[in-house]
Amino acid sequence: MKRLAALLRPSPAELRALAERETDPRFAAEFEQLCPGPLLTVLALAGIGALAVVTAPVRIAAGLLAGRRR
Amino acid sequence: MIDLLVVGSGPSGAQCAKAACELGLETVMIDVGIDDPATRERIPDAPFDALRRTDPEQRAYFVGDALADVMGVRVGAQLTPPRQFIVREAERLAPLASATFQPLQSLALGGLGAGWGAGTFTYNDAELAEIGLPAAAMRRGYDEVAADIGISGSAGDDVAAELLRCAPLQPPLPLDDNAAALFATYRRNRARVRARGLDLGRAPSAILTRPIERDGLRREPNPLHDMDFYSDRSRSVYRPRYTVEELCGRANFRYRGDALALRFEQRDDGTVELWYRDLAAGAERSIRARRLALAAGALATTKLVLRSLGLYDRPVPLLSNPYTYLPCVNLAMLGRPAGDARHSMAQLAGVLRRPGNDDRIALSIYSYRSLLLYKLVKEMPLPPELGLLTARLLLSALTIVGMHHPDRRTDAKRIALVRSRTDDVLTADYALNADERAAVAANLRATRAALRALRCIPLGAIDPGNGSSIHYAGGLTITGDARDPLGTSAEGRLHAARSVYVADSANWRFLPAKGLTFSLMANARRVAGAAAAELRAAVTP
Repeated sequence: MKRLAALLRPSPAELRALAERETDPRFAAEFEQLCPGPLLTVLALAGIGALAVVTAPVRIAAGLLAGRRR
Repeated sequence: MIDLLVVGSGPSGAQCAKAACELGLETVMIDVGIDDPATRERIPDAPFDALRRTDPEQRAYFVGDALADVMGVRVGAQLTPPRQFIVREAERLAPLASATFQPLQSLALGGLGAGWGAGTFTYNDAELAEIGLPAAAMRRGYDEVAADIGISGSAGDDVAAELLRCAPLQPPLPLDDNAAALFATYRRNRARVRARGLDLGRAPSAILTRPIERDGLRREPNPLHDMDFYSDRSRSVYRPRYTVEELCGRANFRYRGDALALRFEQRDDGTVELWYRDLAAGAERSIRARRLALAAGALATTKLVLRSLGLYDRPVPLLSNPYTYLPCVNLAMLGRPAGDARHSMAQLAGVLRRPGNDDRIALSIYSYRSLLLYKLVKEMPLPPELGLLTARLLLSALTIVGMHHPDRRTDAKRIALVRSRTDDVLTADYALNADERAAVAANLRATRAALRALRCIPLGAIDPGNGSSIHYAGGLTITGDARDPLGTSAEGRLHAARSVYVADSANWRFLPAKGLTFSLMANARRVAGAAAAELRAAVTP
C-alpha cells in the first residue's frame, strides 16, 4: 500500500515545477485558499477523490515505467 | 582569571552566561557561532501573503535559490533557507554515526534555539523529580527566564496549571481564525473533550505581545506577519543570540567565536583548562578558568565529557522524545476563509491525560500556511494539479497537531564515543521497546479520540523518525553516587571533575512529553547560580 502511494505521489520534477510556480508572484493567486463554503468544499473533495481513483492506474503505470520507488 | 567559562550559545549557554554575569562573575563564552545575517537581511519586512504576491526575490528565502529542499526530509521542517545555518558544519565538526537515530546538532550562534518554535512549557514537580532536578529552584529559574525573555500566555485557561507555572506573563497572542474556531468548539464542548482526557488553552510562547527594551536593544510585539519560520526582523520570537548580543555590551563578558571545544582537564589548583580548536587559525589552543559550564547541547556535552575522561567505547544512555504529528481538518473552518494576520508558531496547546497513566502529554496545535503548499502536495497520493486543488480547499481548515511522547532510559537507547581515523565520532542506537511502542500507540489513540470530539478530524499520523523531536538528553546522570565518573550532583557539578558543571540536559534522567527549551534555560540559570555560590564559598574562609 505504501509503495502504491509512493508511486501516486508527485515526482521530483513535478514538485520542483510546483515550487517554482508557487514562489513566482505572477502565479500567487493559484496558491490562495479556496473557500466555497462547507457543502461545495465537501463536494469538490469528493470529486477530486473520484478523479484520483480514475487516474490512479495511469499514474501507477507511469511511475513503474519511470522506475520510481519513493 | 576567568570565573566561568561557558561552552555553547544555545538556550542553555545564553541563560547560564546571563545569570553568571548578573551574579558578577567574569564570564567567557566559547562557541563556534555560525550565523547567516546576510540571508536574514534579504527578507523584506512585510506579511507573508504580501510577499507572496509581490516579491520577485521570494524564492531565495522561501525555498532556496537552488530548490534543493524541494524533496527534503520531513525532519526539521522549520529549517527554512534563512535558518539552514543552524545545522551548517555540524556533520563535519560534530560527526554522529547511526542507522537508527538522526538528530539535529547545531554549531550556530544560538544553537538549535535559532530555530526554536518558542513553546515555553514548565515541567510539573513529578517530572522534575524524575529528571533529578529540585522543583523549588527550577520554579525560581522559570520566573527568572520569563522575566528575561518575555513569555506570552494565559494564566487562567485549562492548560496553565500544567504548562505555565511561571510569572511574569505578557498577554496571550491573538488567535488566528482557525485556532479561534477550534477554541470556540472546545469551549462549547469542554466537558465532553475533557472527559476524553484533553485540556486545551493558549500556547505559552516566548513571543512578545509587549515590547522589551534593554541596553539599547529592542524587541517588538509580534507583527502577525506569519513570517516567523523565516524572519527575525521584529525580534518578537526569542532567540538566544539576543542574549549574547546583550551580554557583549557588558564589562564582565567576552564572546570567543570560531572556537570548537575539544576537551577539558581538571587542575590540582581547582581550576579547569579547556582545549579548543581555533577554526579561523586552524590551531589548537587552551583557556583556563576557575569553573567551566558545559552547555553545548546534550550530545556535544556528553562527547566532551567522554573524551575528557578518556571513556571511549563505553555506551551511555540516550534520550530523545519520540515525536508524531497529525495533520487534521478543523470542520468548523472547512470551506470558510481565514484571515492573513497570524503568527506562525503554535496557536493552542493541549495536555492529554490517559487513565491509569501519570504522564502528561503536551500537544502543540498549529495552523498551516507559511510553509507553502507544495510541501503538502508532496505528501498526497494525487497528481500535482489535484493535490494543489485539495490543499487550497483544505488550507483554511488545516490544523497540525504535534505531540511528544515521554522518553525513559533503556538498554536499546545508547550513545558511545569511538575513535576514528580522522576524528572522534559519536555512535548511537535508538529503538523503542514493545512497551514504549504500545504507549506511543495509546497516546495516539487517545489524541485522535479527543480531536474528533473537537470536530478536528485527523487525516493520519506521521512519525518523522528517531531524533526528529530535536529534544535530547542522557549520556551523563544526576546521581548521589560520587563514584560514578559520569555522574553529577543535582546542581550539575561533575563528580569526576569538580570544577566542571553540566548546564544543559546531558545529565537529565528523563524527558517529559513537553517541549524542553524553557526548562533548559531555567536549569542553566540555576546551575550558574550554584557555580557562583560555590566560588564565593571557595574564597570565603
